Amino acid sequence: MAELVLTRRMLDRPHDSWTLDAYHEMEGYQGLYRAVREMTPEQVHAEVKASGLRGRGGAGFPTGTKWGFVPKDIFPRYLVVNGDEGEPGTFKDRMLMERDPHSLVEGILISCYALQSEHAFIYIRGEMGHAYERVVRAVEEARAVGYVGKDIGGTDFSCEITVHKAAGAYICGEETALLSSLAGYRGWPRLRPPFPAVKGLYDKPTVVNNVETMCNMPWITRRGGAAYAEMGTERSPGTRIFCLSGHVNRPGNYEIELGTTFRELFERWGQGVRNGGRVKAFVPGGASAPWFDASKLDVPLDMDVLGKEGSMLGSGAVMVMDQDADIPRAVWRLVKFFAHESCGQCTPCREGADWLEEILERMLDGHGRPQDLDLLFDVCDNISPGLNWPPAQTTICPLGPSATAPVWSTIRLFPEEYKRLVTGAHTSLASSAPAGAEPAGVTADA
Amino acid sequence: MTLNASDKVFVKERLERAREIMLRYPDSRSALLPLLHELQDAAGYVTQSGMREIADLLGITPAEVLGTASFYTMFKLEPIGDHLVSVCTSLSCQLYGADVLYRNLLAHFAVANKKTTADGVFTFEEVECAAACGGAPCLQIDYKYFEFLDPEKAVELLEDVRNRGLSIVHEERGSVNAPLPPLTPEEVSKGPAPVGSGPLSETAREEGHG
Repeated sequence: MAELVLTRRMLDRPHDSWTLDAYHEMEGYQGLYRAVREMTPEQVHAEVKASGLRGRGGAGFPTGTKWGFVPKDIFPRYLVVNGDEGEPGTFKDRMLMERDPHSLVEGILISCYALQSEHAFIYIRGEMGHAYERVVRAVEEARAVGYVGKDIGGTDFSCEITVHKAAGAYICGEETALLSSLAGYRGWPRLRPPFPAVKGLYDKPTVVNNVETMCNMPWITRRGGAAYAEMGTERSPGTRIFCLSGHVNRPGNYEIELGTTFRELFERWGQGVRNGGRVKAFVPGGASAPWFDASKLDVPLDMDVLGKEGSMLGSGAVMVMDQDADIPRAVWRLVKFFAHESCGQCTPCREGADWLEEILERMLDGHGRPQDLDLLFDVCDNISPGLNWPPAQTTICPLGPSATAPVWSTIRLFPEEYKRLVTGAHTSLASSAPAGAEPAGVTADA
Repeated sequence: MTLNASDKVFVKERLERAREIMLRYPDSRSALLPLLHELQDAAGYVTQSGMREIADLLGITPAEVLGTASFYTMFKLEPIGDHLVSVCTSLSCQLYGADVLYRNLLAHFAVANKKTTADGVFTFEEVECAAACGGAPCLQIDYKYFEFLDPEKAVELLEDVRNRGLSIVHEERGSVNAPLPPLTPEEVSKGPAPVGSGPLSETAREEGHG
């Protein structure tokens, strides 16, 4: 088992891991001092490249490469940290911000040094009140002892961090939408190029990185990129926090080495399926990922392998469903999410996601028609032509194609569950209890 | 709330604070969401007159303020109850019966989704993933987390909040991260400890957060 990079501190100091004192006792801010006192920005960047670290927000793009897209001679430039965690099934960044905010702050300072940026913004999902308070407090503590502000560590490196509270919109997790929102506008994605690295916040070069990505930086700076690259697999190095939820005995956030299989994740960490059951389906990487059935249990948690298998590790959210799970019902719930969160700019997504939700709801309500499966495929195909992975896109951002992934992947994997809905043997959405719930004996409609 | 809908919000300390927030950003328009949060904290919801004040502060039109505010689910354009109850029914919670839990809550309090109870105490809303999937099903009251619920527990929790107030109930029963089952020796041998935390009360008192 690899060393724990991200969760060591909160496990060792469960009652005060978020304080500056505790963080200092656990090598806190040594990476920052090493960077600013002993290394050039280029050397820090080189270590991050050598680590092979890939972004932990969803797309998995190599962080060092992303940093390299910033034009050399344009200042100011900004680092924006994406703490707008909202992908259904994902709850790791909240934990990091609540339990280890100083590693986030240190990671940001190290990254700003490498990027030669003097101003970073942390965009935190508004509903996470406690995480916001902890990060604000960590920045204040760090400022009080001189880690944030002017002349950090007695050098001429200066850096300001602004903590920004968002206000409820999943789409703001998409980087261009996040930047629009941070600038004080509706969270509307825009077409790329220009990429944020060239033209981002206030039209300046901007790097957008995920919270977990940032939290790796202190370790990489202290121990070196090569040591990091020794963990995990060649193309997916390091450890990652997987958010395990659904029908396992022990759901939770687990930091494990990339390359572990889903079976191990479910059996060793999740302690198996509840009530001794078996896995029927699982979502391997957040609501946007195509689903898998039990035949994929031995696939390793590796970004490239997942891509070849037709899905993705995405945000690290793994949701498990046992043999009793109602697949179309679960899919309907994710589609409802995307329909709700569509920003409304692109017709295929705005209209298509709504129609997918309505068709599925009608089917689950007992009014399925024989042509509905073709209709679902057709709507999906209009949003994401070809229904392949990685998805084709008719929209500005990937939210539209994401709405289709649960639909087409499960119709292919579990056709009988959908056919049941179009041949009359059905249960009503309003009155049926979901798998695993005791009927509450109420019929009031939500 | 102590403010009337027509009272000016950004005066004295709040005006100073608004100016301080605006200075955090190279472009003051970035302060729009933070100022809307300030307004909502002060007035209970995003009032028309408050949005006009923000427009004046930022040098933009009231329509631009409303056009932005209305995009975000946290900003309420109409008064809500004393407490906002946000029930997650997303997939991980759904798999543990969140929709039954929510229907049951609404029936118990004789109220509809997005509506306020007759006594003005609770406004209910169904929300998307609240990022507490390890503690499903979960809900938030004024954005404070309560996890590992079931339909009966949820009703009882809200009755408790109505009777004793949110802060004391949250300190006793709320959580920061999903508390996980204690590790037995057999479990330890099978894998590393899951990351989570006990009830908030273990940690909140030490740091002075409620």
